[in-house]
Amino acid sequence: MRVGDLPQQIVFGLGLGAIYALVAIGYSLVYRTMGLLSFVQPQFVMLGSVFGYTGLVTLDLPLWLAAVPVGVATALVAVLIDQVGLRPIRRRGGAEIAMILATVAWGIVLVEIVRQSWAYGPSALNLRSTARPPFHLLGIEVRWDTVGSLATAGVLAAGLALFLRRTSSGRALRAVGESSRTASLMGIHVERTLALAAAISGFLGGVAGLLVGYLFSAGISTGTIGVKALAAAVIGGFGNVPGAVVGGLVLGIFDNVVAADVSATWRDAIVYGLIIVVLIVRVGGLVGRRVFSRV
Amino acid sequence: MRKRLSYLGSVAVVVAIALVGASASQARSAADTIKIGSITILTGPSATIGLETARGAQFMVDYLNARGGVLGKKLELISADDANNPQLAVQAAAQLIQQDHVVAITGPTNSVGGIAIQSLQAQASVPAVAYQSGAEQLTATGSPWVFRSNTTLNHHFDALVEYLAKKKKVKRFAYIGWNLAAGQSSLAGVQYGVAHTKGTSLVYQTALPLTTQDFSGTISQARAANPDAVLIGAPMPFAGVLAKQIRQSGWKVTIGATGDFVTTDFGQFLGAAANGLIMTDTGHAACAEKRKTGKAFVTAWQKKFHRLPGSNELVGADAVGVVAAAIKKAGSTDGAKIQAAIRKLNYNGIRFAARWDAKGNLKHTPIPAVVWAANGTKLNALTCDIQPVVRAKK
Repeated sequence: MRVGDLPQQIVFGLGLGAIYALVAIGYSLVYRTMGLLSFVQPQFVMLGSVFGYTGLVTLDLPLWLAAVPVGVATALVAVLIDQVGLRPIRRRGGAEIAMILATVAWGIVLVEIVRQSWAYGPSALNLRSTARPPFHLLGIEVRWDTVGSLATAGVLAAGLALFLRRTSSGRALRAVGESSRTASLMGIHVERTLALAAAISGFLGGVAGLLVGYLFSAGISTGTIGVKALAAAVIGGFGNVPGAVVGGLVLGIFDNVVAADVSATWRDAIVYGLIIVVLIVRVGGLVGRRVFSRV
Repeated sequence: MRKRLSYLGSVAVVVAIALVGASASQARSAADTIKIGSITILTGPSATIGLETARGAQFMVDYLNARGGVLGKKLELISADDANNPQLAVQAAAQLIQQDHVVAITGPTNSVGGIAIQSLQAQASVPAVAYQSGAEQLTATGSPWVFRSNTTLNHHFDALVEYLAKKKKVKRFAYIGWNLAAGQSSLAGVQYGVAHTKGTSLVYQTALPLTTQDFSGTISQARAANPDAVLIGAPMPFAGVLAKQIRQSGWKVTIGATGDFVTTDFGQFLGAAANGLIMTDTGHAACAEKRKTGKAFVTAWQKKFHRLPGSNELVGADAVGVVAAAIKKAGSTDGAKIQAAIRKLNYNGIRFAARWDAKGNLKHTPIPAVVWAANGTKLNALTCDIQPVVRAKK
């Protein structure tokens, strides 16, 4: 490993880390409110990337303007899946494994729909051809993409934190996260609150997907980044929203440093090995206090 | 009661006659056609290469049938999807061999799938003429039932190194590729080419998973090694995303790749960033037109599609052409006889005239060098035959 190169690789890793963080927040929010490990979450990234194609290429919108409609469109899909595909299982008292399998199935269905030629097709799609030249800070190359990704993740994470603390809907989400039965007795409409959680996770996944499409490529294979974000959620402390942000950034940096300075071939094995180490040494993740049980 | 039994008896007789009739019709249909199975990537992120190949294979079947078929029978292509997954390739091969009773297989596209179906082929004595499959391992297994319709990735990259060194004065190469068999074969070609091309060196090399999206760190390290050219040994979307990020980082380095991996979607994906990218390819219409058989095929293709065929379409067509020529030479649809015929075949193909060695590798294949132009919409031939050092030495 070249130590002198380390700050550069850390800065490169922050951009991808910000994207991991957005998706990891979605995982954590759904887990906190529904007690569900949702495997449809990575495909919201995939949906956001192809919706981004419609926004940026077909409709020729600027990136900042496309973010809201792309996020909202993905959120609508997330709510639809929750209400049509998961709510009936919840109402029948379906087992946790049934819910998890349902999210796996929905993920596959979404990929197959997007894959069709009348939708977006199987090929990778490009959302832009040019990029603003990077600038240098203390001798380190900083890309505007990295700045934009960090700013987007920062604004959305801060906005979500404010929403959860300062609004009645946010407090309802937290209450349902503590105990849905108690929340229901307090007059909170639990199903509506769960739909809100699905919408927020879909929105965050969609915006993350837009960034993935903009920075890298859009299409059916972009869900792999969403799968890796699950590791970020675990590292941060599953179910812990601030932890998801920390986990995302740590994963992004670690991922990039390992690929560049240790072994590109062993990258995934080492990164997922980190999850095992974190779970063994600090079972609640880097930030979380408890894990795999709703707080 | 007796009347009812009589009625049921009549129904049974009618059903029996219908079944026998249908069976006879099926048998007649089977006897009238020669079935060839095609296994390629019809779904998934790499589907473009498979869809193009399948289109070429089907057109070749129609083209040959319009000229009387083979042994007085029509050819029938039964197409199966392996989604670039070796397990699905085995399922597809099992269905084609056991249920459809194909006499030969064209494909799969990926060497890993090609290796996976070899035991099934051996059990049923069904030869396969692979599509793009460029990894050395495909024929290194020693299966007598496998034949290539393309040169290996090793040779492609070997030839590309030599071409870029001579024509573009490239001395320092970097290689960024896929971490599976095909990527290893490509890297081996680059290493061989550099070792045997005077004044060249490989200053950076790395192998990454196909799912890699963020190449920032890799590009930064490759750039630090100061190469004159970066060679990409991977399919889409890896190849496209990497080339795009190289250009977006402001690095104007020469980029090389091979059409064995990337196809029309590479150019579409990159748009203007594709301009000037140099590749070797598995075929080119302009080169095919220089051959009599190739010109006739390209003319027929243009009549139907109103455009020139792409390299993968030519690959699909030639794979079917090899099987058809072997059936004709064998005078039989027996798998073992077709296999023996390919070994003795002087194939007068669309892209090239070909013969095979004992391992099923092509003895000589011209490799076109091509360049992307017109914002990724055109792939122009630079030359129709560059030969790798590894071959020239033999």
